[in-house]
Amino acid sequence: MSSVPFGPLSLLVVQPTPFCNLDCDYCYLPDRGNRGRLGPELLDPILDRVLESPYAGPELTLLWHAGEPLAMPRAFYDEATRRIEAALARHPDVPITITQSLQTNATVIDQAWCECLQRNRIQVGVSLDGPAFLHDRHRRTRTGLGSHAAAMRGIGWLQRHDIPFHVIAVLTEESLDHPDEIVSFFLENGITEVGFNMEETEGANRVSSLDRPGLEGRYRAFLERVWQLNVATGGRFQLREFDLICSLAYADVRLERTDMNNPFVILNVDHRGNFSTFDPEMLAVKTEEYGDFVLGNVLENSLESVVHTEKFQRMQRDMAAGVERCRRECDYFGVCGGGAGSNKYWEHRTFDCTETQACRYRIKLVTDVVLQEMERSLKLA
Amino acid sequence: MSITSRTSLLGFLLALSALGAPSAQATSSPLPATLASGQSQPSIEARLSRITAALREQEGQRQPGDQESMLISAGFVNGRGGGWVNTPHYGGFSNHPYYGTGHFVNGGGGFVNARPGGGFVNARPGAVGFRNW
Repeated sequence: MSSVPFGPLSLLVVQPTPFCNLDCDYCYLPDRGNRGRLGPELLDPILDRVLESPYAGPELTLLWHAGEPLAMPRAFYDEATRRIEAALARHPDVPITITQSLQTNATVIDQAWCECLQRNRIQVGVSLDGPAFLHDRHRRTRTGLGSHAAAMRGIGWLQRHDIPFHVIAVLTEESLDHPDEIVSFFLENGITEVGFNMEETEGANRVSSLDRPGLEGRYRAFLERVWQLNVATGGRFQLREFDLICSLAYADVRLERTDMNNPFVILNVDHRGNFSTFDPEMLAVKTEEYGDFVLGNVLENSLESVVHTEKFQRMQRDMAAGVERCRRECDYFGVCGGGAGSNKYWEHRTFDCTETQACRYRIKLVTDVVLQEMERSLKLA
Repeated sequence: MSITSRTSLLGFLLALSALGAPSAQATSSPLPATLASGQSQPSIEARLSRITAALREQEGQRQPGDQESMLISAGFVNGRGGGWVNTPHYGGFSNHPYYGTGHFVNGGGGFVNARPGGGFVNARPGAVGFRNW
């Protein structure tokens, strides 16, 4: 694979449906009322395109995402599993491991879903913003009802079936005043693996509650308090943001790129077979400057054929230029790798740029807090 | 601080850093290069390097094998440099942390061809069918 300029492909994001049974007010997806579905037969060309491509890596996660994956019938995932096995049988010379994963709001999980997830060996991530008073402000049904109680029922089913899961919690402005409540809520409910996603200005969400001036100081204070709570629990609360920076420090490794700015490390395929690369947030959106980011359709195009198109060339050129500017200009590059194209586009209308609010929240402030606290702990400060 | 399989990497590092900080401070805190050149704040790289050096020194105070076994039991890294951090040949985020796959997930399994008991792997010698992230 070293002679191949892009990849290796390690994340295949497939949209089983754009539809979501919730209507969260910060969601970036523009088309979440669309009840279109991926026909199971479309999985065959999707998988063939991947397995035939020079970008295929040794380990591939197939992530069901970009809509609520559990809005599909359970039989879809049984059929998908059969088709994955069949695709591997069609390509016996490709050394690859394929793992299924999904990100769900958990509201429809019941015993039958747990059995489906287990028999298809699908790994689970749940979207949950903490206690009900925070979660229900944004994660609502189309009739305006909160979804926290239903999500917690689903989590209860996962826990009773011993299905491991992590949680991704979106932080909005009001979250910043409640670090104690958030950490306590997760630990009291047996949820120890958590990632914080900041509300972002992206796609259909044109304004973030974190856009206002002065909030970065509050976020830093929030993170410092979460660190203190983490220390107090003996590290039982595993926060993705802290652990990533800690792992870079401990392993003495720095980032050169991210999966989101390196072509064909991620492949995103919508329910009609259209595909894009870079971060999944770019699959379903249309922009003034670049048009849409669809590079081809699995029914008509191989992955490697689209790298010669003008659209891909422009995206790649701008993306690489932006990463290079980050490398030259930003002190945090080694813990960031140049950011994500979607954040750069939605904040600056181009990939050829550097700092975004997303990177200040996601990388810079987190790094500042982790380094400060590690130095304190090691008595280096 | 006890280390269990449910302890975060942060918990492990805190346990490690509590071992013998004065010694680490004495020998692994050279003046950062950026301070030496007159800047008021050390660079992120300089600070990371100091932390890494201090952690290495703390590790050196452990009995042989202690830290390795702790890490393995905690499921963090497959030897130094593994785990969540990408391998040098690529250098990006490993395991797609922002999309909820990878290291958050414990257990589960993949489709790997031709590995006994391990799913469906395409017969790569030494391939691992199941990963416990």
